Formats: sequence, C-alpha cells, structure tokens
Amino acid sequence: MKIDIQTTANNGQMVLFVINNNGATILTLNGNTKGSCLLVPGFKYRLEWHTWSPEAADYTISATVTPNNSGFPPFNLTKSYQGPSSDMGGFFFTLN
Amino acid sequence: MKRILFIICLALGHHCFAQDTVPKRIVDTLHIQLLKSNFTPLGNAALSNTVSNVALSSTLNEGENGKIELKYNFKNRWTGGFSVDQKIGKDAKKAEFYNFTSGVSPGTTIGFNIQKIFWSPKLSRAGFEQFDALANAFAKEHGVDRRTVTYNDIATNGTPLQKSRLSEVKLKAPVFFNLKVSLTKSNFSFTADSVNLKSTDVNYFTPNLGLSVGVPFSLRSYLALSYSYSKTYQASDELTFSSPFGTTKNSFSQTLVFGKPQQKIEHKINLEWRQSFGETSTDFAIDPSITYGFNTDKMAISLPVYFIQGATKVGKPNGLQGGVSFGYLTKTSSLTSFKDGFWAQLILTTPFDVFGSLKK
Repeated sequence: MKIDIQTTANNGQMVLFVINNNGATILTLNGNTKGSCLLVPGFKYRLEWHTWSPEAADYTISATVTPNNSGFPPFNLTKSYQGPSSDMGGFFFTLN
Repeated sequence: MKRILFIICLALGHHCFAQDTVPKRIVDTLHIQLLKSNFTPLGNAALSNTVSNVALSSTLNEGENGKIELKYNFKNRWTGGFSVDQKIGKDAKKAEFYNFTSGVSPGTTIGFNIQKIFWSPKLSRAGFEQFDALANAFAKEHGVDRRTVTYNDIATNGTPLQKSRLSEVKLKAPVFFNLKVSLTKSNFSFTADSVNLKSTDVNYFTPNLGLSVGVPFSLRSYLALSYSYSKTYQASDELTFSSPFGTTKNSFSQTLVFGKPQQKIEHKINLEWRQSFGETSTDFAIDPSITYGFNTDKMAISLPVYFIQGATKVGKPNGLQGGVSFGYLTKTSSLTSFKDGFWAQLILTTPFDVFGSLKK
C-alpha cells in the first residue's frame, strides 16, 4: 500500500516525517512538496510534523492511502498562525 | 572577470523594474568615525535578508546608494542570493552598475550569498509517545479529531497537569548558517611623481567574506556569531601644488592625492543578540552586539533599542521601526574614555525583525 502526502508552507518552515516502528524515517518532506512511500499492513507507523516561523504563517497537510484503508482515512490539516509560532503534531497508525 | 560581471549585470537588467523601494535607513552621523574606519557594528548583521523564492528587491537612495538583490530558495533549505550595490553621486538619480566603455563602475559591489537552515526536530520515541498520550487525552476531553491535535493546542487549552507534562517535550528550533562573498571595485586617482605631477588612475577589486551562524533560543530571541574578512584601499592624503603658469608671473594650483592608496585588511568577529519584548505584540526590542577587529585592535559595543512603532500608508501598525542606538568604540590595548568613545544615534529603519526578515 502507498501513502501520498502533500505539504504546503507559506511563510514558514515545515517538515513532515513518516517513521516506521523501528524508529527509521522512511519519508521526509520539507516545505512545499509532495512524496510517497510504501507501507506494510499490520505494522505500526507514526506520522510526525513540525512547523516553525518567526512571523505569521500557513501550513497544510494532505495525506491519503491507496487503496483506501480504514487504518488511515484521508487526512487533511490546515493550520494558520497569526504571529511567531513553533508547533508540532502527529499520530501513530496501522494499516489493516 | 569583466566579461562574467557584464553578463551577470545584463541578465539582472531585465529584473530591475517595478519593484517597491525599501524605506531608506536614516541614521545620525555621529559615528562617522566608525564608518571611516570600516568598522561598522550596525553593518555587521549576521543574517542577510532572506528568503522568498525568486524574490527581488531594489533600492535607490539618490546621492547615496543603489542596490538590487535576487534570492532563490533551493531544495533542502538552501537559499542563494545575488546582489549588486552601487554607490552613486549626490546628483545621480540612477545607479549605473556597468557601462560599455569602462566596464563595471567604480563603487560597485557584487555579492553572492548562501544560506542553509539546519533543522532536525524529530522527537525521540519516548518524547513522541509522551505527546501522543497527552494528545489522546486532549482529543477525548475536547471531542476533536485526535489526528488534528497539536502541541500548541495542549499548551494553550490543556489542563495544568497536561501543560506541565508537555513542557517536558522540547521542540527544536532551526540553526541558520550564512556565507556571503562580495567584490567591490574602487577607483583611485593619485600621483607619485612630485616633479611632473602626472596623475595615475588605478582600479582595485577588493574581496569581502562573511560567515555567520545563528541560533534562535525562542520565537523572540536570537543569537548570532559572525566573522568577516575585508580588504580595502584607503586614499593617501590630498596635497595642493602651486606651479608657475608658463612664463608669466601667475601660478595655478591643483589638488592631488600624493602616493598610492594604502591597502587595509580587517578580520572582525561579531556576537549579536536580538530580543523582543511584549505580551502579544512586540512593544520594544533590543539588538545588542559586540564587534572586535583583530587588525585594528578595536572593539565596538552597540545597543540599539527599538520602541517606536511604524505604520503603513493607511495607518496600520507594521512593527517597531525606530528608536535609539548607543555605542562605545575603543582600542582594546588602552580603553578610550567614555566621553570620546561613546556615541548615540537615532534609528529610523525598516521594521525590526528578530530573525532579520527570515522568510520562507
């Protein structure tokens, strides 16, 4: 199975990681970019993202797994910061 | 070399139009001693303006300076910049970097700038698991999609206990590295012939190199360490010569620089701290720095304090734009008296930015 991820960063720094259960980073996306990687059902992964900006900034993340999998419904996130900001988020997931 | 510079100038010529002028930085001239001795703490900003893809800025301050700057963001947080800076005469209304007959104009500085942002914010497994546990609890309590919960959501709206545990998960800030190389063309007229007073023109291309590393300590503070190397030439003193005019009893005089320009090399290090203060907006900010020149054995300490809010043409606040700067310049071998070494100046500038207008 494949996960496709697209990120946008307007006025700020952003990095997104997909990390496998061994702690190895299997996908890194920086700023305005997109990428994909293969995932194996039954294994635990984590998606982790970080943002940083000394001024107002906007970020988006859009991630889908093909074929559709209940272990990872389409994920869309939009974050807007009105001033300097440093933030992160993420979650574990396992494909069925 | 001339051909390369010509091609670059020609290529940039297509981009030199339709750009907003940047507000002119006006400073008092009380620290003219600093400027003359090529020892300018305020000119030692560790970070050049960066970083927006295919960004071009241009300035033209009549009688002072004309500048264009082109920047581009490459992959993996590399940024490259190219600039041409031209000192212009008092009556000039345009900056002529290059002309076909004499090549690159004297007073032109051509610079290249490379910036790299190092940033590895990935949490450790234990750190992420701690965040995950807090985010799970937060999502449950607030009835939101767990996957959209962020660090700031918990830091802002979490319980005191959650906030306390979250503070154990440290977020990392980027580190900035900057390399700046430039060449300046200078032209000197002088005579070394005291008999015929024959004037000689000579051009020099002098290099400047700047290296800096910047580390943000929070979103409101920033520490930068920089090193710069510069090679310059300084004109010798002017002398006035009086010569007989033919066989008449009249004479005419001419003022000439006698002797070759003197080469001057300077190595400087600079440590700079930028800090802004205020609850929600920035009420005031400081930008203290200390600069040491190895060859001149001089040290400069400066403390700009920004507290005057600027406004756009429609009256909207656009950040701190003015204040007062205090400084002290001394020899390190024997300290200059406070009376002689102290200087103060008014600052009217572009809006203060802790991170030197770092932009993505």
